[in-house]
Amino acid sequence: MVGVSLFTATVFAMDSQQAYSGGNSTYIWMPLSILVSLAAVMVIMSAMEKSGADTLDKLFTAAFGRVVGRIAAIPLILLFIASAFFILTDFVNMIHSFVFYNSGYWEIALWVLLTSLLLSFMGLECISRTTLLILPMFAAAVLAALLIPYKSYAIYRLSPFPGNSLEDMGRLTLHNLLRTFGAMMALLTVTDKLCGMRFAKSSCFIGAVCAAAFTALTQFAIAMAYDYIDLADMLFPLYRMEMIMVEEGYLFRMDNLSLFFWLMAGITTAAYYIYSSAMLWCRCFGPKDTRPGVVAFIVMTGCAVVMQSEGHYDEFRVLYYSAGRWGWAIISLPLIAAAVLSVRRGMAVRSGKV
Amino acid sequence: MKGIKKIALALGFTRKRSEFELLETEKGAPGFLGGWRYAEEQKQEEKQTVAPSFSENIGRIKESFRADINPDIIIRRFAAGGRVEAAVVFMNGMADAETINDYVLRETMKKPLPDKPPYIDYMLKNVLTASDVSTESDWYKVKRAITDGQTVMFVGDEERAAIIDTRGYEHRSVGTTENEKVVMGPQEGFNENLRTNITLLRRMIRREDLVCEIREIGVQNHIRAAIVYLDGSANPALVQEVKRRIAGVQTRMMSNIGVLEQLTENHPLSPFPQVLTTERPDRTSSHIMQGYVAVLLDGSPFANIMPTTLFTLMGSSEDIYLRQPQGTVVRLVRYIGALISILLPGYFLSLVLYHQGMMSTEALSTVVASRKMVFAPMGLELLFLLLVFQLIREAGLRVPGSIGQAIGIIGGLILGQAAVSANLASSVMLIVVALSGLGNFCIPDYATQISASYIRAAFVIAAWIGGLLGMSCMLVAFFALMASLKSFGIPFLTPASPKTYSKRPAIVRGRITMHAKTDDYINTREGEQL
Repeated sequence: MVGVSLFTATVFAMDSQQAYSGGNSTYIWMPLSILVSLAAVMVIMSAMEKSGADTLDKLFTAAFGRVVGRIAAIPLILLFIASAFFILTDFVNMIHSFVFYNSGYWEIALWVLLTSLLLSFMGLECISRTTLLILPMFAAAVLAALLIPYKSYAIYRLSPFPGNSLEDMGRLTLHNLLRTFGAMMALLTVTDKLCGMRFAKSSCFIGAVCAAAFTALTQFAIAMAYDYIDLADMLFPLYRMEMIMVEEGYLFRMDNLSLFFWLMAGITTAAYYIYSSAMLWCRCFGPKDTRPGVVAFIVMTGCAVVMQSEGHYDEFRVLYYSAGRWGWAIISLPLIAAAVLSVRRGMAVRSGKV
Repeated sequence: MKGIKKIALALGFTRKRSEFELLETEKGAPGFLGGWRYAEEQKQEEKQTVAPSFSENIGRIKESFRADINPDIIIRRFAAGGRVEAAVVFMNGMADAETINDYVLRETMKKPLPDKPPYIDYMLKNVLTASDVSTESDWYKVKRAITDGQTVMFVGDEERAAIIDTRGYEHRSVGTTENEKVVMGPQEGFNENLRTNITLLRRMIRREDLVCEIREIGVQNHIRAAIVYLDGSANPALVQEVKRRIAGVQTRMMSNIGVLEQLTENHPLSPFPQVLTTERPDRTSSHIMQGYVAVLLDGSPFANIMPTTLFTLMGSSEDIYLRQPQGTVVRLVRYIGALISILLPGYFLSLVLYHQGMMSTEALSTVVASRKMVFAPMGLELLFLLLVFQLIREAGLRVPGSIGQAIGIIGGLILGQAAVSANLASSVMLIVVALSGLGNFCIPDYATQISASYIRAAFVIAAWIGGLLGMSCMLVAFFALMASLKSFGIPFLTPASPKTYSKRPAIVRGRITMHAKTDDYINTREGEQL
């Protein structure tokens, strides 16, 4: 689930203008941002393990107390909702732009939102098992998208190698952290349902490393198919790559089919974010049932989808990427503080000082 | 190495497989399994015992069984040992009269009794030559024994009755299987007699720890059921869960094992069965040997095997009788058939209606040409044809053998041809529906076949409204539905999702040595070993 979410966030829900502003080096900094996030999440997980907090809300409560802990959790809830929104929006945009261009935006969004709602309603167990079922088809669809246009790959398109500068790559890695961080942080809200922290750690590690490898492979293929100047103006390069490259082949219209396999992964990812946000909300603010929260957050996401389709897309995107530049710091600072404080309190409790 | 171990420990990679327990049981089990209802009923009857008066006991029997208007209850009075007043009570037709005559009445009348009571213990030891005899003082159990086909004997004014097993009602002999035919492998199937069915299983499983717990199911009408499992192998939590659910069954009429299945499964509204129903003793015994639990019901020629997964439902007993490559191919064809059955009509409809770009010009031209004069919208045409297919199938099932086959042929050939000629349907669509129908027949389990046919209709409707978008959303919902199911605490999609460490592949047929091992998700007592 973590792997699919990370891959979806770094390949499909990607702002081309920002991503290729530093040259053609996404295949380096995108996996790097996943690995940096993984390291940060591992530190937080270790802190949670040491402090005895098995979920994120308990970490916040242990560190800051009940009131401040709740406030500290709100940015994370918003991050999860925003992540779900951008993934759903990007897929709906993709379908609207390339497949059902005569259909209304809202009509397409309704299918996706309702399916996400159903999945979020059924809970984490169901979401993760559905993701596991979809995974082979999703991986096959991505690999097909990379293999079909193999004739168009050219090494020279990787220039400038590796990207404009190391500084640019570092900047982009940091700015991308929010997206990759969110996918793994969502796991921390449900660690108690994953056979404990140690299992959560290992699954998070496997998911993140696999996602980093797949992201690197995919972005590398995209980078060899187009130069970065073209890519900066291109919406959904992976789809475009599959669409135009094999006009003379038997599989010349596999793009539509692949898109819907990718969409299935997008729906499960969105459901995962929505469920995690509802779960964190419930744990912090008291409701025992996640379903009202799930409905509320899906309605919020749906409203945002409608708003962006009615001409506010750029505002949303600017907001998200502005937040993305320093948002990681806003999200991670309370987390680091919470980790440190809770570990100290945990140690104090163990030594009998409290 | 130490460094690697430390890193692995820090990343949480050091957990043992045994730490993961898939099986989940529900809380709130009755205090003493299976006995609670009996206890309640007994409480209602104020714990009545056998009276210390012969005439009162006979009077009670007459009153309970309405002997004045019910000629089936036989009360045969006689003098035991030539002097003590006694009677045998049994249900005509349920008990074997020959056994009663030869091993109960003749012996009891002829042989002398001691001078003083108690007589029953002496009779059990020295007089009665029947193989299964016992004494009972509980009036409720005495009545149950009579309805069950046993013979009850009252002797003098004793506060106990002798119960003699004389069950001998008519039943069908062991025949061949009707619905799960195989080319290779045993041909015999269960019949309606519980004892015969248990014997069929015992003949195949020659293990001393094969347990057949007999329980009465249902309120008032107590049908006997056998819970069959290997005590040394089956997961105790699973066995307890099966017993708990069976104990919780509250129904007046338990006519068939299908009723029991619905009353014990987690999700009765789910399209998929969560219990494997089979009429094959070899299949049942093979599952019992692997640590599953089987339930047999008196009067039902089927066994329920629990837990079950999608892959168990898609399996056939013949898979194991074939060699590995053949078995693998047969299984793959079956899965492809199931996929075609569920997805092909919807996929074809969405391609033709919304994604014409994915089809070659030739294919599209053929479809357009075949539909030139068809007046109905394509979605409606497809749904109509699917309905016709179901009609033919249902009609073929309900009428006697040879006529049923004729209906299938008439429906398939003549009706299809006529529909195309009358421009009610296009020939391409007919082929799609026929292929889908054939795929449906590849699914071995009958209940799953029916489920697949209406899930297919749901996919067609989704494709009609939303093309591949509708299909993919429906597919996610379909997967989610399956992923949310559990059969007796075991996830329905195990071992694929969640993944388990099972060495037996889920879809392809693995090596025969792998099949000798038990499924990991069952958590048998023996582990994965033989």
